[in-house]
Amino acid sequence: MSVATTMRSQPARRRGLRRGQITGSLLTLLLWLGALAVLFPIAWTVLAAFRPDSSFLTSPFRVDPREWIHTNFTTAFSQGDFGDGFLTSAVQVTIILATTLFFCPLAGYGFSKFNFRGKRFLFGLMMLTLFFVPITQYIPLLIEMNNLGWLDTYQALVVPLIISSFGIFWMSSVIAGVPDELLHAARVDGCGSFGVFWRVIMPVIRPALVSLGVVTFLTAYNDYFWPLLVVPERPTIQVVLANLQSSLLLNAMTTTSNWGPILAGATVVFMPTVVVFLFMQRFFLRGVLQGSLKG
Amino acid sequence: MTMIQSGQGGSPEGSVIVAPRVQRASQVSSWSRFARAATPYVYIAPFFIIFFAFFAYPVAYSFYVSLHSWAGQGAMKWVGWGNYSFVLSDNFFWMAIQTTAFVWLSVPIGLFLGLVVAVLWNRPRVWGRSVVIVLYLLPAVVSIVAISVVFKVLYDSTAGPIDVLLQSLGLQPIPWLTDETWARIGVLFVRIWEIVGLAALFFGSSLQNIPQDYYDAASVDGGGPIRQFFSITMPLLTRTILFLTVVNTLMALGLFAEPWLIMNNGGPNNATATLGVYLLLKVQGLDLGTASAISFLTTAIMMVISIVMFLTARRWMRE
Repeated sequence: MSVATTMRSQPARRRGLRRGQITGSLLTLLLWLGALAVLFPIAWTVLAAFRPDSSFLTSPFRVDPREWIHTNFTTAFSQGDFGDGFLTSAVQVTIILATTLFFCPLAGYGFSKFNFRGKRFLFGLMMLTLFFVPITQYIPLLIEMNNLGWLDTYQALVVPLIISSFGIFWMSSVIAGVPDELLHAARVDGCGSFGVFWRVIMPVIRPALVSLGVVTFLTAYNDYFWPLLVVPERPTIQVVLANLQSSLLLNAMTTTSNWGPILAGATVVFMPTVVVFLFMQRFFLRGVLQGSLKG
Repeated sequence: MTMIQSGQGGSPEGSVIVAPRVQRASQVSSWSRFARAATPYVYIAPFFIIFFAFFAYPVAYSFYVSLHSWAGQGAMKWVGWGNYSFVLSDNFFWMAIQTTAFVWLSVPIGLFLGLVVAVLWNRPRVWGRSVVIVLYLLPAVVSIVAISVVFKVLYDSTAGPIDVLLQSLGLQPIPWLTDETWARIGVLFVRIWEIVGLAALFFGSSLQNIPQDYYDAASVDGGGPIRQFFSITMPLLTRTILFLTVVNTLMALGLFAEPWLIMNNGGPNNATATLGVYLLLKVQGLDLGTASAISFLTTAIMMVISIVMFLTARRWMRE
């Protein structure tokens, strides 16, 4: 049968290859058109940030490097508190990364490598939190922060994101995949259970940890509403950008003349995430896909 | 040297699946037995401390608040179910539900487009595939504030590039930011733009898990690409479709950032006021009792919809 099909498919393959190539190229072209359409808003923003307003308005699509300027950026920086904003964001992200990358694997270790009473219940309880969309948590948390006198503090800023249920779920499945023989060997060498965690598991799951780090970084850095609500006096970079937009729009006679600085601000704010993404693509992709397609 | 393997259901409580320390039974003190049993609880404790302090307690307290009328400071006035009945009879609430339902359309459209994209980029020879993937994923990486700032400018009727392009083609500019219908469509487009890349990523990964043999067998049996798609691809994607639908539906139901930021707190004349916007408006107005009631109602809606989705899915996932 195989010989017959090979003989039959060869001439067919040669014929089909030409036709298939054309459809294939068309489909790839279609894919690329879509990709460019998706890219358009972001690319346009970056380009527009460098252009002086006048040319901006008359011909929004022209790309002429000779007229690129940096005044939009300087205006944006003078109007908006970018320096402080970056500092606040940096502290916020660092704290959240440190706690997440330690406590999530730790809890994942507890859930996946141990058996204990109530494990299933507690695990389910943790997963339940994933159903509560952030905005429904904001009000209760805001009230609590207020009652604790924690408004405008770093601890209030990081609290909702300190340990993520998604992170624990993900780490559980990753750690479950670590072969028990490795753990046995460490035990034989005299490690306590924490030693096993720190010396064996953490190094072994390092790629997954990096992925978790990338995803956590993006989530924390991009967060807007919680910082807006809870640390109004100490804005993170996203809040700075939003404030910049409203103050520039308020001050302008027409909205269009102040676009340059706003778009420059937006470019500055999303550049870190794009750069991190480009360098850490592999880890980001792995991170996003983890834990969703098991089974 | 004894290594104790853990049995399926036979491990005593608190026992470690990993081999225990190597010791004679008589050497194990009751303290270390206690420590060993407590170990896993210690490891998951940090999460649960946070869980109780910053999730369970505030949620419970918020329920308490929802039974009162409160402006954030000062006295709380008991109103029982008053806030809930107010919300349920408020026209704004029902309008918000309609708007949210419309915005939810971004989910089927976005997932469909994501699937198309995934099929397109999963083909054997795609020129520049890794670049394409990066491009499609950019929306997932950019923050919502940046996205909103960008689209607010893009959608501007006088000089935003979209309308300028339309005008240069001789068409009427579209009043994205000022017309109620177009504003909703504008928000819809932004959501779709945000969703497509990630959906394509998930679908792409699932598609790669489908063994090529299935397709080869179908070709031999005479099935063309369309038939193959519907009889092989789709059924094997149902799990991914369900997962993406539930996750994106929850996000759509709680959506508030885009209408709030792009359309100025809920659109021209509240046209783009989703449930989330409605909630935020109440918070802004310092009507925390009502706001809490809205958030519970919203969560209840989400849970009901999720459960319904799971149950219906289970029925046609039996293939």
